[in-house]
Amino acid sequence: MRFILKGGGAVRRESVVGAVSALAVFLCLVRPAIAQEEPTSRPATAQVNPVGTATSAPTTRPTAAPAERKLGAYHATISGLLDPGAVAIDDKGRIYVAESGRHRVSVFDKKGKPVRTIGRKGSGDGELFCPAGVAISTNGDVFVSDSGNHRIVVFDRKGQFRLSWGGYGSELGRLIHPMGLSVSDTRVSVADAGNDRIQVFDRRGDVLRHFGEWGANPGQFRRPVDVDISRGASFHVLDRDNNRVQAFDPLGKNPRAWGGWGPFPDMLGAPLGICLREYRLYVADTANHRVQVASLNGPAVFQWGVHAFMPREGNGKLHFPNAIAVAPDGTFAVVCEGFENRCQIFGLMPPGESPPTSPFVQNDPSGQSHFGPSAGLSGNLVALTEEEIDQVSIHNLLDGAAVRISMVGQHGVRPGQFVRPSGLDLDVKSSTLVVGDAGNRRLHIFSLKQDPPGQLRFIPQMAQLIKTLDFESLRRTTPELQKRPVIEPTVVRRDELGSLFVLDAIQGVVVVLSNDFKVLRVWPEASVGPPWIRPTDLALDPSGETVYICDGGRGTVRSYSLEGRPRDQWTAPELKSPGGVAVKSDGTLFVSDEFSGRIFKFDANGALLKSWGAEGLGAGQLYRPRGIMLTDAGHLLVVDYGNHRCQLFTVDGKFLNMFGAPYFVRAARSGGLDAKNVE
Amino acid sequence: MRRMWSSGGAAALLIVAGCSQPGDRPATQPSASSVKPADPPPAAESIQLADTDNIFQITFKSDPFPIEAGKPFSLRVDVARRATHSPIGDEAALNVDAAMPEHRHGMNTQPRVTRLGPGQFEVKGMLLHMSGRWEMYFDVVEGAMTRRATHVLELE
Repeated sequence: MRFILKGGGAVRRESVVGAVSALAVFLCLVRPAIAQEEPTSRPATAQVNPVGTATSAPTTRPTAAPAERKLGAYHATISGLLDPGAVAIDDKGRIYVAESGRHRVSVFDKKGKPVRTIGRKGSGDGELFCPAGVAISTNGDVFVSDSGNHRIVVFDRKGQFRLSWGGYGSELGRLIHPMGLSVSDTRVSVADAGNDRIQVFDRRGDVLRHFGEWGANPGQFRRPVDVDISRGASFHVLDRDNNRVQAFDPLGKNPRAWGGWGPFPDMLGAPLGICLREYRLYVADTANHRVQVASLNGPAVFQWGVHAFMPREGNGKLHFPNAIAVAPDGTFAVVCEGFENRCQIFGLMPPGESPPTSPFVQNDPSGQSHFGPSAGLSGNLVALTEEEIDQVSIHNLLDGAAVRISMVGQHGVRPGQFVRPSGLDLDVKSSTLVVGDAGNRRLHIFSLKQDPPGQLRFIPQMAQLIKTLDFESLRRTTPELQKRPVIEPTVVRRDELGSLFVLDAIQGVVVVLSNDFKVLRVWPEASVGPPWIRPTDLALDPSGETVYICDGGRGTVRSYSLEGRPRDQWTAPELKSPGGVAVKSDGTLFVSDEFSGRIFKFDANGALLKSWGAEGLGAGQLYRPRGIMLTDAGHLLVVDYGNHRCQLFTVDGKFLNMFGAPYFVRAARSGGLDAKNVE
Repeated sequence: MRRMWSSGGAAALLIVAGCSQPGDRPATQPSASSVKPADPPPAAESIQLADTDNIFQITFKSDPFPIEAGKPFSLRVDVARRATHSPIGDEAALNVDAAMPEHRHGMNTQPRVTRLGPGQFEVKGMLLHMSGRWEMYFDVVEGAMTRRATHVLELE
C-alpha cells in the first residue's frame, strides 16, 4: 500500500495491483484527451431499433430517426434496499446500486436478482460511508462517490479495492460531499456538491479541470448533484437548487440550460439524478415524482411516472425518484427511490405507445402535507416545511390534534422566498420564526401575528418578513467563514439568549450567531473536517450548555460544549441512523431512528431506558422518522417524515394522536391500506 | 376611478416600524370602505416607514399619485439611518418589490432601482396590475443583512 500526496494536498490511496493498472491508464493519458470525442462513462454501445433488438451504434446521429420506442414500461422492483442513492448499469446489464444506508454498492442482474456487494462500512481502504454516486468504466472498474468520506473510491470488476482520492476540503482535488459521477476512458467527472463545482480527474485522481461556483448565473451552480458526459464529451450537469440542467462544452465552458422550477413539462422539481444515453437525457425529477426525457439540448421530449399517492405504492408508480440509469443498449432503465428503499426496473413501451404519466404532477399549493424532515415547535404552534412546494406551514396544536393556520413563503430567490427550506426555529414568546433556506443559503426571520388563545382561524399574513441573512455575503466578510464554501443552513436552533446554532449538514459545520446575527463561533475547524458522517439534526439542552448532534452515518448522537468541544455520545445496538434528537430538562434524550422506525429514550448518562415504534403505517408506527421535539405539555412530537405526517407520544411511548397527509392519516386510523380507507 | 388607499393618508407623515397596515393609520383617517371616488386627492404624498429593527427610515412618494391598479408608476425613495438621520451611502443598497400575498403572486414587471445620490433612489417599472391588497417591500441591503419595511395598500 502506498500513499501519494498530490496537488492541493489531497491524499490518494491505491493498492499495488491498482497502481499497476493505473500505470497503464497513465500511459493512455499521453494523448490529449479532454477536447476529443470519447465514449461515455456509462458506455453507450448500442442503439435500440424499433423492434427492440440491439444494433451497432451509429457514428452519427440519425437525421430521420425511426419511430422511437420509449422507456417507461414497468417490469420489476428491487426492494429491501436501504436508502439507494445512485445507480449504474454495466455493458452486461448488471445493476449497481449505491446503498447509502448500508454503506456499500449492491450488484443485481438485469432482472433484479442479487449478484454480490462491493465495499463495507468504514473509512479505510475499500470502505464506504454513505455512497452517493456510482459509475462503471468500460473495463468494468466501479467508481464510487464515497460521500461520507468525501472521496472517490475505485474497485475493480471483481470488487477489489484499487485506489481512492480526495478527502474533505475545498482545495483542488479535495471534495465535499461528492455525489453523481461519470467515467470515460480517460477521465472521471465528479459533482462536487459541497463545493458547488464539477471536478474532472484523470483515472488516477489528478485534477484535469474544474468549473462552476455557487450562484444562479449561467455556468454557476447551486448544489450540482449529478453529471454525465455525451459522446461528444460535453458535460451535462444537474443543478439541483437552480432546478435546471446545464450543458457545457468539453472545456467546461459555454453553458446552456433548460428547466426552471415547476410541475409542467420541461420544468423540474429539485431533481437529483441524470443519465445520458445516446441522444436522450433522462432526469429523475424528484419532487415531481417522474422521469423526464429530453433531447441533449432540452427541452423534454416525454416523461413517465405516476405519483404514488397511496402509502408505499409502487409497481411503476414513483415517489421521490432520486437516481436513474439506462442500460447501454437502451433496452431498460432503473429508477431508484431512496425514500421508498427500492429501485424499479422499466423496459421499452410497445412501438408507438407512451408510458403512463401522472395527471397530478405536483401537490396542490393549498397544502397536501408533504412535511419535510424538521420542525419548529413553541407553545401551541408547530412549523413544518412543505417539501414539494417550498413553503412552511404553521399548525395550531389542539389537544394533540392540529389545525393548519397559515402558510409562509413560496418558492423563489427573493427575501422571504425559499428554495428547499430546511431548518426551522419557532418562538412564540418573541413571536418570531426563523427559516433556514438551504437552497438560497439564507436565514429568513419573520414576525408572527398570533391570535388570542382560544381563537382559531386561518391567518394568511400571519408571518411578515423582518430580515434576511445571506450566508454568501457573510462568508465574504467573516474571517471564520472565508475558508469555507457557502454555508447551507440545514438545521436552525435558538437558545434562551437568542443565539442561533446553524448546522450545515453538507459541509459538516456548526455556525453560532449572536442574537444580532454576528458570527460568534464556527466549529469544527476547516482543517480538521467534520467529525460526523451524515449529520441530520442539532438540539440544545434546556440549560443552554450542551449541543447535541445526530451523526446519522455512524448511528450515534454526540454532545458538545457551546464551543464545540466533544463531550459524550449515545448509541445502542439497535440504533441505526439517528434522524432527530430532543432533550428534556433532566437530560433525558429522545432519538428518532430513521432506518428502524423507532424512538429511543436514553438517560443523561447514556443508558438506554426504552425504545418503541416499528416501521409501518399504523398508529404509533413510523417510516423514516426525523424531527423530534418536546411540547409544552411534555409530550413528544415526531415528524413521521416517510408517512407525510406527525405523531404525538407521551415520553413513555404511548401514542396520542397524529396529523398530516390525509391518505396516510386515514389509512392508519382505519387500520388498513385499502383504497376505501384512504379515499 | 380606482385609487390608492394607503396608510400614509392625507395628513402629515406617518412612521410605522416594520409594516404599515391599513389599520395603523390615525383615527382621523377615513376607513378603506369609506374612500369614495369623489374624494379629493390627499395633500401630502410622502409616506414614511421603518424596518422592524428601527435601523432605517424610508420615505417614499409615487408618481403619479395616487397609485392606481393597472397603471405604471415610479417611486422616489429616501433612505436614512434613524439613529443619525443621515442618508445611507454606498455601503447599503435598496431593492423594491411588491406582491399580493393572498394571491401568492408578485408584479409582472421587474422594478429598476437607480441611486440618485446619498440615500436617494428612483424606482421605475412598478405596476400593480390588479385591484386588491398589495404589499410594497422596501429592502435595505447592508452587508449580509437585508432589512425589510412593508407598506400595505388596497387598490380599488
